[in-house]
Amino acid sequence: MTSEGGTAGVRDVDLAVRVELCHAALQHLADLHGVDLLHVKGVAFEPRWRSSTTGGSDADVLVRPSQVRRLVRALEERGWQRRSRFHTGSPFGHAQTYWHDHLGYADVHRFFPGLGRDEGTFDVLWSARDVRLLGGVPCPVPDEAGQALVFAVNEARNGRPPRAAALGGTEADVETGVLDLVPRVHAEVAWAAAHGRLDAVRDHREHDLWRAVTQDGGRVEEWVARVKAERTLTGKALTVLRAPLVNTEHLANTRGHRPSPVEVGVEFADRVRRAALEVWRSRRPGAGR
Amino acid sequence: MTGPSAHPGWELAPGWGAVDRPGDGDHGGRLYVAPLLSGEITVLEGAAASVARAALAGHGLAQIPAAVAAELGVEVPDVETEVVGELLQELVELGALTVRDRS
Repeated sequence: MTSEGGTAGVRDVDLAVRVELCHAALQHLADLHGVDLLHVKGVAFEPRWRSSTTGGSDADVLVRPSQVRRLVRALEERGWQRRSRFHTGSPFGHAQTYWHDHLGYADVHRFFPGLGRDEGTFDVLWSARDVRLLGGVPCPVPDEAGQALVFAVNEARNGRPPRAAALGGTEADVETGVLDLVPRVHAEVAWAAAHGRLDAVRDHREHDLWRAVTQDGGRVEEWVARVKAERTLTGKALTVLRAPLVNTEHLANTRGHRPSPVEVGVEFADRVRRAALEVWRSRRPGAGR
Repeated sequence: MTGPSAHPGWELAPGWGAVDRPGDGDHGGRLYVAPLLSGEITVLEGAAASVARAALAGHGLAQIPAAVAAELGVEVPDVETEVVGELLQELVELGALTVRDRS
């Protein structure tokens, strides 16, 4: 019998084992603090709704929006180290990443990109939840239609070919379940993106953001789309203000240390230079999509 | 320790997680247990994994040697009940296992 911190060492604990125990630990913490969690992606899903056969490198959970602060506080009290913030983690601002010295990475989602951000969306998924045993702990997961939808929009967001992200080849009842779910969780734009039909939702405020992420648009285009996708004027204003700022957590993660003021300054200048270059290129005669 | 036939058996302690990988590593595989708040993972390997696996499957002390022998492909007398009991007691002291409530 060997402890991870003792003679066995970290190398003896497979990543997949850590991820599964990470899900279990998140669920245990949620249970202690009365937080509703849905475990999403990777090992939480049926194998056919996983992006990789290995089950991923982190544990992803979707938290009831009104309980996000409670879970975040509980995680930080228990020594989980935040590695990214919601508004800096991705163009969607959907998840915050945590690191645990024994269990590895956890991604805490306050909403899932492509699905609604509201309590009602979570309620729809929650009311149809299944339970999967992860690390010996019963963990709530979306039902099959929910898993299929999350898988499809996640594939689309990661730029995988639209047809591969659609549900081709699945049985009729699953597809019917997904089609029923799409409007109830406000996933019309993401669903259209997953099928390569973004033009059909051109008038939607999230259209440009999905075009930017699925068609690998430039950073400036992405930020403009992020502003457009915000529902409120305050949200738009905050997004504009954040655009030029350096993501210091990302910088720390890539460099392996907390960046110095000089490093942040250099990165800031480089961001401005890259943005200017992108704008100049996009406005040259003959440029454009 | 209570006699083999009278022992109520074991279960995973509340607040602990477990991942079973019977096909990993040596004969008997690996079984990983961790307290879910601290997350420190303990790795049980080979025969130790097999014993813990049998206990978590609900076998009592009297049945565990046969279950372990079948999994490891050895004779039942080769699995010493006393050693099995000591290992399970160690896991109880670690906090990973708890004695099943008979009531």
